[in-house]
Amino acid sequence: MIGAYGGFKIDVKSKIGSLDTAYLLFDEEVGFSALMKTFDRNPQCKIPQHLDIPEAKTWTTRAPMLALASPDPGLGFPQGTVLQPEIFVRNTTAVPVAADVRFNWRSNANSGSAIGPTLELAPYETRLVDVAALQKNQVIPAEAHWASVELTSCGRPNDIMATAASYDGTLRYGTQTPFNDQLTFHWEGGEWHADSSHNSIITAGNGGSIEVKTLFTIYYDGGKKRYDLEQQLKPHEQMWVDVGRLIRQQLPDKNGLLLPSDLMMGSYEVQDLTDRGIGNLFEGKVILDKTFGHVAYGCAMCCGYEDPYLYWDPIGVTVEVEGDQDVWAHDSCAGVFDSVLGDIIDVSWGTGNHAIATAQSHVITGVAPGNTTNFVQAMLRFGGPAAKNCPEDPINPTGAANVMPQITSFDSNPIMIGSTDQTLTIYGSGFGTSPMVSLPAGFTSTGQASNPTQIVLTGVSVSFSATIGSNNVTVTANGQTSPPASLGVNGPNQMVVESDRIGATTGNPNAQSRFVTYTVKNYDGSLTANIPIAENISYSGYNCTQPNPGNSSAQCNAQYTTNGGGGFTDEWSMYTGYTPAGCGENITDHWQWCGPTGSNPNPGITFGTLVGWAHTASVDINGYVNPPTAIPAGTVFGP
Amino acid sequence: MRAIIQKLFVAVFLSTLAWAQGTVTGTALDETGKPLAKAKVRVAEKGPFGGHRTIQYYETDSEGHFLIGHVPWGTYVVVGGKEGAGYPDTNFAFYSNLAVPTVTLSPDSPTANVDLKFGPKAGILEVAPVADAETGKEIRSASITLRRAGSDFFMTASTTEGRILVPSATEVLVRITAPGYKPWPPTDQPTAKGTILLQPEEVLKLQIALHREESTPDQKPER
Repeated sequence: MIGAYGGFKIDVKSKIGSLDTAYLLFDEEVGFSALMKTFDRNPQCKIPQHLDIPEAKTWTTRAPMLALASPDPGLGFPQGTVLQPEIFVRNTTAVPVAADVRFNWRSNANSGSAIGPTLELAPYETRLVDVAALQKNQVIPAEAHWASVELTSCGRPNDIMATAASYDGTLRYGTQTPFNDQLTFHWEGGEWHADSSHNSIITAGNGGSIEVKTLFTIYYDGGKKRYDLEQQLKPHEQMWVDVGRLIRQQLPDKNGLLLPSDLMMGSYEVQDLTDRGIGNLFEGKVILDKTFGHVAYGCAMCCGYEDPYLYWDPIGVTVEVEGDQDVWAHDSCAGVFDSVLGDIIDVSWGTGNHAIATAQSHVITGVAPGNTTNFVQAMLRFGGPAAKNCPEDPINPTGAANVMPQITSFDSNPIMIGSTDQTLTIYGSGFGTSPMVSLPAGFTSTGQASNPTQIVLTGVSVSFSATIGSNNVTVTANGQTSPPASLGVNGPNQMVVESDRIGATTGNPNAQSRFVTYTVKNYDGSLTANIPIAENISYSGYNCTQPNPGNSSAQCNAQYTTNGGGGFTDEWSMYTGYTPAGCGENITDHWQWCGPTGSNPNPGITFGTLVGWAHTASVDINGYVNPPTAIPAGTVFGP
Repeated sequence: MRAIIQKLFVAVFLSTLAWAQGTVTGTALDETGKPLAKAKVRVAEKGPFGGHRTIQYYETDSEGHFLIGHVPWGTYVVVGGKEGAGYPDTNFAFYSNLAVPTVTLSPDSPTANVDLKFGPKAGILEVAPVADAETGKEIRSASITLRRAGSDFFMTASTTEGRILVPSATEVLVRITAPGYKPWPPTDQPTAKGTILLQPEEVLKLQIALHREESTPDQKPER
């Protein structure tokens, strides 16, 4: 190859990850083109920080599959093809940088390492390393087919950048191998091809400092079947897998399994079984198109986090209250989504409008009602700060932040059902000047005054159609609605068992009469006293031979009330002389409050429901069949 | 014309019903003949009954007087009590032994006046929470049945009530049961009858632990 060469850079002053690049190299005359890799470089990043190894002094980038002058027959190039392997190394900085080059070569029969030249690179210099010349000079054996190339420097990460390519004089045959500083314990490869017109050669190398057990797995038949190869790799060693050869020669895997002879494609992965927390492996792959002589370099994905996003989007916080934001991403190693808050470094949190919300670390605090954004700029590293060699990706997930007003309390709470012309004060924050209050059904008000922390509603009435118990109230200010706050509507809503007795009565000694005495209590737990009560009762399934003796029930006519302690007694019974034995009827009894006057509302408001039956031998009330089981004192029945 | 006549008939009938109500008055007295204030009194119809009915008690005034109005024609027993003072509700035959006043109201006799005599005072059974003999945990589903010796009159109540009145100077059989547990007294120990005989206002504390149906109950009654 002849001609001029050099480097270029693109500076981006805005947010991390806001620019991407594509770099295509071509020669129209000979019909050559190559997709070139560009590199991310953060000039602030230091080696110990990049690798998270405080004592780290050097940085290494690797090209895993440099085709050497004498091409691998597996590539299927025409006999006599001679490649010109070259490495272009560029100093991207304004100061001199030194880099060491190392080749881990492999021939059909042997493998070994060779130390290349030490490169003293002037500022912004691009240097060509003629690997073919190194082979001619026997630095690298002439018969070697492949080499992985290691470039090591003492500068910052990516201070030097390199590309390696091997093409013949016509530029028709050849391949390139990109440099990468990634090491991991789990590489997930894409597709491989191996048929009459294609072949795939895959390599995995140990870029660490310890010997590791490496598992290479081929998946096929839709990922349902696998073929495993295992190999111990010393530092700098590589395993090479010629997939076409495994199929053609029917070589067994570590479990004795064979790949189908007609298998043509599948996927693969490489795992470091020794160091699964951090990993030491690098990886590379070429796919040969035997028809045209094209060799395409492919590489596996370092499995890890992808598609980071803010977990709470929008995040909702109330004024003067903090909310924890979180960053999640898809973990492609485990196939799950998880928090990566502990895996981001160089973190900067922010919001779009500090008058609405502020961010302190991942804690978002509401300032005033409204809508804004919240975001984080960070470097995301699989394995987190403790991981040594996993890749870093700049991330900048953004989401909406809604700051809502907040209700803290009411005066008075609870408020009595049926009451009129009351004053209800709502306390809280972020109400602004013209808040809108959403009251529960059955509430009305005639006037409102407010300030940012207090709303006073006047002329408040609570009709009998309101719901006794907890009701939700919200306040809307500046388009944001507060979380619902509980406003209690007071009134009878429970009946508490005081005694449950069954036996023959003085007036009806031949019946099992069950008398249960209840105390009616309000929602706030207070006793009712002398309140008008009634029943909405229904009967069914009477099956005694004798005519139904009939029933009596209380109506909303102010004739029946609880006593001064809120108590009343209810009788369920069946005459023991009725036949057949055990006959009786089913009863559903809704005990109701008829309002202060005893006739409004009519029907009343149910505060307790009893369901059961009265038979000649026993009586069931809400599942308590007596005899033999009386309802324990203190048992509460609700509506 | 027939429709008009029918409506007239219904209206007259309802009007008659509305007037078909008498009044029961009286005085509640203790065993010494003194008026008993704040006692609960009611009238209970005599005769067979099945189903459901509401119970309305009336409270005596400071001189023990009571007035129960709007009572339909019929025959009634007049019952009541003041449990806090030791007079159990004679509504239950177990307490009254059927010794209560009876009144009959009719168009010829629309009012009745009775002296409702209470006493002597009952004995008091204080039932501690019934426990599981193995775990010691309370069995809230336990019930206590009290029966007059030699009589069919009984009353069953929840042991969670704690304080239960017992007719005094009367032999009463006590039985405690709970679903899934052997009853007390054990049926396989004929000598353990669970019979009590209390004098007025005498207190008997009963602490019972029940054994599960597979396995002998512990009994520690103490006076």
